[in-house]
Amino acid sequence: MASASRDEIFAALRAAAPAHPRAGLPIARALYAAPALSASVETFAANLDAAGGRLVRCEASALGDALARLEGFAQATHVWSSRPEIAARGVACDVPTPHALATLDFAVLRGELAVAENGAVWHAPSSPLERAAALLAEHLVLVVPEGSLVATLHEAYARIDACASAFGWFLAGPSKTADIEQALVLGAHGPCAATVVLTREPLHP
Amino acid sequence: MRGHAERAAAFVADEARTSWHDQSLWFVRTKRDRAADAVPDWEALRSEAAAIKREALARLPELWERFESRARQRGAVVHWARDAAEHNAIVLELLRGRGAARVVKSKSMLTEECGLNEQLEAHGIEVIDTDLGERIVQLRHEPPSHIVMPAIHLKKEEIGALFAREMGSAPGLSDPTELTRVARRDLRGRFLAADAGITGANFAVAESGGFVVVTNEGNADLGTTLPRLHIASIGLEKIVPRLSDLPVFLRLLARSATGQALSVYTSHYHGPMAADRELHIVVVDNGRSRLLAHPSYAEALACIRCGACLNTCPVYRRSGGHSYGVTVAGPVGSVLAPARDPERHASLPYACSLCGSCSDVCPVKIPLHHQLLTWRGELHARGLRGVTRGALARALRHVMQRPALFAFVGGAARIIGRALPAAWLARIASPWTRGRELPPLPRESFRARYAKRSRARG
Repeated sequence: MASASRDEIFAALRAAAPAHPRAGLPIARALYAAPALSASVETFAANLDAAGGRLVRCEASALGDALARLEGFAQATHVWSSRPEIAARGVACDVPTPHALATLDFAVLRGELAVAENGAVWHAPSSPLERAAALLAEHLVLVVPEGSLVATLHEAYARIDACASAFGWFLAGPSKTADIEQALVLGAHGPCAATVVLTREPLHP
Repeated sequence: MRGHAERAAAFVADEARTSWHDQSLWFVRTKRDRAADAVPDWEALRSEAAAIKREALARLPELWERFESRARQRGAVVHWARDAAEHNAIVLELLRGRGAARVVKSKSMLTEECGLNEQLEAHGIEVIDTDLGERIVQLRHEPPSHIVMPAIHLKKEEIGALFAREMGSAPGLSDPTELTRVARRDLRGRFLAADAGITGANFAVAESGGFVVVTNEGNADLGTTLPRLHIASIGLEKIVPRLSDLPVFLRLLARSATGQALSVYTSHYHGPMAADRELHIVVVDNGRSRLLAHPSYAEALACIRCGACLNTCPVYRRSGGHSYGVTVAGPVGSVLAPARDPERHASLPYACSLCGSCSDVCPVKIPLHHQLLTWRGELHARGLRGVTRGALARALRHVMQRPALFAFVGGAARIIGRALPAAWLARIASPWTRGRELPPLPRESFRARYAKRSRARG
């Protein structure tokens, strides 16, 4: 019976705790404070590059043009988009199951925040479909406001609400593996390419 | 019983391969060094991570209670398994209850430890390991040789031959990119056809009732996005108190493991993602609460499975993961395994030169080499030390306690040793000379030289 196992495990943990050398002692936290690291676009670009991703910068209003310049985007037959200004192509955004997205060329998704120290973007998909699109597309495009850039993961967690939705992730570049003789290969199971588009809002006088 | 040295014999016999293996892992170690050096607060981060883990280990009952209640609020179902058999039974029951016949599993050392695949296969359920390295070793019917890089012991030509046989790729193919494409095509179909996805977890978070799974390939994500049933197996030691603890560990984990600033996919699960989906969490003890009660080794439960201690270990690098005979090899595995079965794994604390490099690179500051030394004392006290080693130590003690006998034996050894050809000598000194060269024997003893020197100085 499952609850009997639960009770037994908790009893064992409680019995073990007093034997633990540090049990009962106040835990000295290191009062850790992250040093001021750079939240610059250059740092983000360098770390995204190291992760195998590419960076594009543009005015928010010029997103369509920036995407059109991506290699293969103009000819792509299957595009999934969570951005209202980017039209989907060859695939309905309300397909019944994620499996229908298996032939996706591009997925264009809205990222919430970018992290300079590792090139990652926080993304909280609104549905299993959106999450599947991010995985099944050959080329993943994350569109993130440049103003959201933070220096470190500590700041990122302070800004995002990691448990606001059932699922959220940091995405750092295209899917990759080095399981065969340590040779880096982009495109293990997910996208073979990943682009982050940092968008700037025009300055209002 | 065959120990580490006997199991390593075949691996080290191939000198070229041993050296290749050594260099592959050293390459990963140097990548780790570069990544760690680029973080100005690296040592402070390690201290913080160590403090958080020790706090968590001291508060496990309270943290798991909170986790359970939050996870339930988010719609997940939490199960409790005392041991491997119970874990496997829970997973099997969940799969059968939903008619799941095809399962995709991402890398999980816990399910390896529990022997889940064999159990499910025995009941007619197909389990596909989806991490590329794990898929390779699964097809070869062997265990992973490294917790982060399961197929690090294999050459690309061997993998090419395997894929030609198992996936119908062109014979002779050995380019890593081409081979990865072959596996990608094969596994993509299996992801699309799967009825359920099984994952482990890198961290469970008490505060939110969620957990984090980290991969580079995206295999855990595909395996939990396409099928509607997700089962996550989580060891009792994986919990941290707060969401704000996550960046501390995540900044250390990938840098320590592969030298990346962050893994590609860092996925946070808080309940099922849609109404038609199920999330089951199986929390597993399997000896962890017993280890927690052990004053000397409890800290090993802080391990975040980055593999840095394996990559830096001079013994692991030159003997290969399979020589350890356990799921988690290397220094941390050599601490954990004897706690499970001291008799069976008595040789592992000796697969170590006590150089201390493992403790230096450990992101959560587990005092690994101290624990290995402590194990040796304990195994000795329990009479589980090797017979030869024990007899040798007793003989040495006898001689060294008697100065006259010591001088006589030393003198005799020098005369005989200098008279014999080196090959004969090596045979006499075997097994010590198996893998070592005997230094030339001096003409006279230290005591004789010292006495002469004292006389000369008058």
